[in-house]
Amino acid sequence: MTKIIQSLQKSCRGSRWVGRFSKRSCLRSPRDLEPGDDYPTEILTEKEELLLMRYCDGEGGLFVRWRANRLIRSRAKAQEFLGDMQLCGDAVRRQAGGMERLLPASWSIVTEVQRGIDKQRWVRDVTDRGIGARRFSAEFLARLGWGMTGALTAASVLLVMSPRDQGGGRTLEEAANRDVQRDSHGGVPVSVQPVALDEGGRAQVSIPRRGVEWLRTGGRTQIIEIQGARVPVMWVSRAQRETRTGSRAVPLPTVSFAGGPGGGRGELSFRTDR
Amino acid sequence: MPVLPIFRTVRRVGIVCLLVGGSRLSAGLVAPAFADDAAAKTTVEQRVVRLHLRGVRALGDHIATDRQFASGLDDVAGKLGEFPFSRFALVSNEEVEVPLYRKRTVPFLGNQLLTVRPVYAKHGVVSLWLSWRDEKGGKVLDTRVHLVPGEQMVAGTDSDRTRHGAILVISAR
Repeated sequence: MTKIIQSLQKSCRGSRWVGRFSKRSCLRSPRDLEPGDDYPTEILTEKEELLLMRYCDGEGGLFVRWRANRLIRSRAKAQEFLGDMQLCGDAVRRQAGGMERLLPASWSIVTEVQRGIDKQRWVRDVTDRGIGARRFSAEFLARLGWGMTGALTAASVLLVMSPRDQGGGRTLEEAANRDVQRDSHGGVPVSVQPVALDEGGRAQVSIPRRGVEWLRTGGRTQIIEIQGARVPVMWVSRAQRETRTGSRAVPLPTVSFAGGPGGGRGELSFRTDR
Repeated sequence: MPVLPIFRTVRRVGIVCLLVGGSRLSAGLVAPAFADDAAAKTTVEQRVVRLHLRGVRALGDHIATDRQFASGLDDVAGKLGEFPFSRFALVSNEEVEVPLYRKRTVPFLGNQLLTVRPVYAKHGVVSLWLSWRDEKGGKVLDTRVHLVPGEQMVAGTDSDRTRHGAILVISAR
């Protein structure tokens, strides 16, 4: 009710609608005085009017009622203002249904006041929903943050504890090896199968390959194992390949090796993928 | 707009990133000290592998018993003697420095090309990828070997056109 009156007071300031309720304009306050008006000898301040409005609307507690009663008892202007307020309120309540007919000029204002109230409710509802959403979002983000933190921590622990190698460890080695193989062959090569053949063509000797990881050649390859050496001597006979494409075959130069089982000597050939 | 939780999340992520980065950085700073071999330590710290490349031209008949080696090939005379030639001339002798994991192509013995790439240097062993191609670009040798510094790898090939042998001697310093 107080808000309605305040809205009416602001909207009807100086209008003829106010005069219909009260010749003395119960809603006028000192700030409504215009130049040339006679300043009344007894006039209520704005705080006193608000106090009486709250008293009339039944708002406030014991202290408000005590102050309003004291003001009413002490000042006749307060009694008059309170009477006008009660009249105004009764008129509004009584004519609420037919106010449009009774007060066609002010009905739109009341409607606007009502709209304002509705808007305030709507804003409050939206704010409440927003606060709820914010709470949900905050909880969600907090959970998400903790989840991300845990995941990153686990990933970092795994990263730190994973086998690393500085200056050529397994990881870098494998990566570089893959790179090298890709550069050199365009694919994964097949490892060399060392085979030492005897006269019957059966495999006899297994050759230590600790010095050679893999091998590809452009011709028939012969490995000469030197005792005490990690890397064998390699001979790529391309002359034989070129001769084989010709009309006659040239026998391979016999290459001897030492270091086989029993220290025997023999011919050694490797199969290579060509 | 819930700003505070976002700041908390960003702060947590930043802390984790700092921890991970610090651990990785400290590991990278400390790791070279784990190299247990002097040669490997040198190569790892310097990130450069020094290779000694020698190109040898082999001539003569392999039936001949008297073999002649040019000066500068005394350390590999025993290995060269396994090839079916009697005379060995040192054609090229150079040292190249190749950064670890980097590829470098070196011409030798005329127009033949040798591409080397140190794959790793660890525990006193240098793993090396070798690609040897002849004048026509044909593949002669493509291998990966593990060399101990000071040890020579000897590989050779021949050709019907020249009747000569081309021999590569490579070692890691």
